[in-house]
Amino acid sequence: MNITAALGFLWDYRLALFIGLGNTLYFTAVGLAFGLALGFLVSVVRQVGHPVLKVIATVYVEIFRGTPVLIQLFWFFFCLPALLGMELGNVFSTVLTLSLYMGAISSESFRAALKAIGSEQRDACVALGLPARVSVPYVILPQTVMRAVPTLLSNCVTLFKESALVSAVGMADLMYQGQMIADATARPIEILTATALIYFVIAFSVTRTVTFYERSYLSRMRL
Amino acid sequence: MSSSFLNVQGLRKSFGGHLVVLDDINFQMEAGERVVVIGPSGSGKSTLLRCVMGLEKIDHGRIELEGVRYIEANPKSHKDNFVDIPVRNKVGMVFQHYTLFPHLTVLGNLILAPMRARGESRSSATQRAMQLLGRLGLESKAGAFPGMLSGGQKQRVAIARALLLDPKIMLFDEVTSALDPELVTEVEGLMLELAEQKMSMMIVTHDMWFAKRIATRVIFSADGRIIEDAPPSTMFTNPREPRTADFLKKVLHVETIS
Repeated sequence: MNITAALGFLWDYRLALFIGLGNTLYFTAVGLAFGLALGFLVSVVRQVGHPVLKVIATVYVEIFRGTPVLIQLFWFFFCLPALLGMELGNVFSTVLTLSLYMGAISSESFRAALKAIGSEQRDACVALGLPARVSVPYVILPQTVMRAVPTLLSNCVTLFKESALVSAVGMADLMYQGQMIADATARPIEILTATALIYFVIAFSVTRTVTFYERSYLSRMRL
Repeated sequence: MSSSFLNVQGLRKSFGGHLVVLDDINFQMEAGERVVVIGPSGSGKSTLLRCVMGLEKIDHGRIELEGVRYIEANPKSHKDNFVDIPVRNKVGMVFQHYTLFPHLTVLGNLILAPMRARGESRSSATQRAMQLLGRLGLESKAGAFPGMLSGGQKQRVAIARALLLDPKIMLFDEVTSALDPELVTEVEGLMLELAEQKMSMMIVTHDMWFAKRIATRVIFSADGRIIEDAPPSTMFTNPREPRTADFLKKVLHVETIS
């Protein structure tokens, strides 16, 4: 295969791929924003919430962790609108699914981080006379977030990659655009390789950031 | 109400209602006294300190500081203790495992409580903290995170953090147990300095030589009770109770220390 020709061919479709990447990043970002907030809330509910809420939260987390994202997407695309008897909009269904999925997996990361803060830290807060309005924002929360960051970033990478599944319901993300161009031009090798490379470069940089953060920051604090 | 500086009356503490760790503990100490609590593992020494700090809910009894009741059991509910927080905040405590906040620098650890819980200004808290760190030879470590310090430095920072709140009494719970032997002296040295300044202290330690050096009074506890309460000279050379003598013989491998 002629590399120059392949690059030239890809260059012709740069705009389509770029739009796809934009959509992928958009779905990932919105899914992250809602998912992280939901995940933190759910982890707190599962730790200290009302027993009924705890059960609801646990069932939610287990269902979303225990089923394929593809089925979740199909369910929110086709089943939920049918059950409700109304249109939800494709973008809404996509973002809803990704947010709920991210909420479920990130709540586990938050929960582990909350648990990892030993009772000794709480004892120290009492011994120093720190009321909850001081100990929670200045002692407990920062340590929870710092401990959760590595796994949360891994969750982000997972969501970023899993978001390729939205192409299956016709959302024009990077994967979808790649597939369309490959079908239209009958040149899947160049296009699908390039698409994979784009996913890889972004995911890999985030993964390296996690390693760097763990080495430089967390190890320095011995968290 | 008693005129004693610290007054523990009828203190009973159990875990889960049946495992009794402290049973009917009564003792008083005067200001400036340094009471060292010794005894076998599981005798309730650390739990006693934790109760005085208010870290454990007590089943029965009351604790007073300078004649003011600050912890009292509720006879109707074991889970519910009366706690006078402003009085409790006059008690300072240092733990075996340092318990510094790992995400804050040394200075951040010191000034958090004065600033956020006591309303002191940042500049004033920082000034006092730096003075104290200077006295302890830790000035250069102000910007370091706890993870970058040696065990001995961490423990001295933990002591400084407690001291910055001007406690009336300091509780030391096995503060040198986690340290490498060569680091023990720097922490013990600091405690001896505090002793010279007449700081009231309750100390739990396994180091009998240090106990003898710092204590004005030694309490031997076993099975959740105070078995013997005597000045160090008597306790270590001529214990009254056979159980005390047995214990000292085991930990010292000799009859007495002179």
